[in-house]
Amino acid sequence: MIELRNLTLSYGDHTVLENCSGSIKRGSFTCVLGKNGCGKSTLLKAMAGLLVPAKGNVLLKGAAMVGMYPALRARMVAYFPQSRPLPQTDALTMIRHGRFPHLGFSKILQPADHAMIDRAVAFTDTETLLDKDIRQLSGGERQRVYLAMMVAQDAEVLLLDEPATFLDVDYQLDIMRMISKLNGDGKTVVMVAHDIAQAVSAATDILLVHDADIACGSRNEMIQSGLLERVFGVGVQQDTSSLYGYKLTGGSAV
Amino acid sequence: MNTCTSASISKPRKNFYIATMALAIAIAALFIVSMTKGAASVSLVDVTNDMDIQTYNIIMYIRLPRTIAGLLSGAALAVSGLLLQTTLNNRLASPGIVGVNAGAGLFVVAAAILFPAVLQTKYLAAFAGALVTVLIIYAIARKTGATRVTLLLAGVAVGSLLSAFSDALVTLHPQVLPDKNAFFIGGFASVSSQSVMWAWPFIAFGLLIAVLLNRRLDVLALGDEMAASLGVRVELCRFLSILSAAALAAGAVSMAGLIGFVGLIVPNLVRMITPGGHRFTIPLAALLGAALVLFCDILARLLFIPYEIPVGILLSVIGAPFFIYILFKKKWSRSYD
Repeated sequence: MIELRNLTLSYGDHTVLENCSGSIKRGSFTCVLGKNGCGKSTLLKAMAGLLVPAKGNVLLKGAAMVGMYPALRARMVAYFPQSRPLPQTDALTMIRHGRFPHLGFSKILQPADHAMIDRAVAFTDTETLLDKDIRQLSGGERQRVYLAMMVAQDAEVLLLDEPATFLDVDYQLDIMRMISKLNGDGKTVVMVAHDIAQAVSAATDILLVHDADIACGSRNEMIQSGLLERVFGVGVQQDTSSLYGYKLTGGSAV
Repeated sequence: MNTCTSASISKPRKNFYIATMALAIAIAALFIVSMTKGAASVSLVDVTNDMDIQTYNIIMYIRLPRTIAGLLSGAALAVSGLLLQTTLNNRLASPGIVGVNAGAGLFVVAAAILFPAVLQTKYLAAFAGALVTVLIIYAIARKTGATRVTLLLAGVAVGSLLSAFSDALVTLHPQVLPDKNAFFIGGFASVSSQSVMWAWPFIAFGLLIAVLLNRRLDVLALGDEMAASLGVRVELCRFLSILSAAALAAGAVSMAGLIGFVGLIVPNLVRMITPGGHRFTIPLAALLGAALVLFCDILARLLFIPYEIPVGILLSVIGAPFFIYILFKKKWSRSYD
């Protein structure tokens, strides 16, 4: 679905990723893992087409992201940044913005758009929040509204940057469940994650960012390769008794 | 549940209709008062019947241009402020504060010195000045990747630099702006039908762009990354928005001088009335700005007959306490902040 080809990403003189190649499979749930500041978010931004690579290409279904018509790109890829300004608006208006790339020049919602918005609201269970100012919502409610907007956007690829971080654990589980369900409905999900055990439990694939390079593969391959252990200093083990079905083992960092 | 997202009338929409209606009535009333009251009082009957030539001249060449100029500049400054606040994502931005007015003012003064014989240069100069200032601020933002707070501070700095230049020019060439107080404080005493004719295309252009951009501006408020990921061409949208803010400010400055405060206060008031999108806030800001400026101009004419005070003074005297009162009203400020 998404192919990274000899990708080099940099901010000014600072090179974040150098000559990386890899791919995201259609229908996969890929978790992007790596230490803080290693360039996970930068990589996600490049996949969203919002950052022009210094070298190489991000290909979406074989077409280069750079130079793609913005609305066309937005119909295929939805992006959920980690930090966002909080505009003064109600939740419904927010969710409606998800339809923006599908609208014509006049930007007026059509019946099909309303139907999609209704579906997104039902999916994320946000009916009761619609007329509320999003600045008055709790963190978990707000994430659900943003997720509803993403569902309304109805893109094939969902890129999420730590959607569950900083939430209470029940909200985290809520959000993760919804994302997994979207993946089950056929969306390709790429998620930058903070909590390794949580990420590993949800993912089908893992993309590891380390030392300006990336490595990707299926979840089990990646766990068995020992790469995670080398990067994070902790092992990952299946453990049916723990919350996510995986636990971290050993290492000085635990 | 299926109809809840498509059919329900939200509170912002209801407030919008009420406020639009109220403002339309207020503007109609103010228009009549503005046409009839002033140093010489003209009754409505006089206007509708055959007028003597003196009354006709007062109405056609003084009151009518002045009234229209008041309405247009109010609307222009308010929408200009709204656009700048959205584009720079800062509630404190306004054409007065980020130096757009100052830039237009400087160019007007410079044009008066360089081409004293050609009055029309004033209008083009105002637009050029406003545009140059906006582009400087925009360039600073792009070059430095400045945050929005830095951007505002840069605007304030550029503004005071430009003001210093115009002060210097006026000090060295005092003869070019005989009523320099009226220009720097802002007022409509010297508005002619010619100035309205020159200014309205700028204002119409600015308003048109603003209306066309309204949905994109809503999405832009979600942040650059989110907007870009939803398919908005962020840079283009921001540039067009700034361009129209400059055209609007220029139109207002060329007619009325450096009127402050409208561009800051009106967009903020409008957002308290309806937190909805720009399709509500743009028309409402235009109406409220027009009503406010015309109201103050009428007072400016009537308070100390036969003298009049520059309208900019009244705008601050009336606007500032009212604005502070609104901010302190708990109900408003909580939902607003």
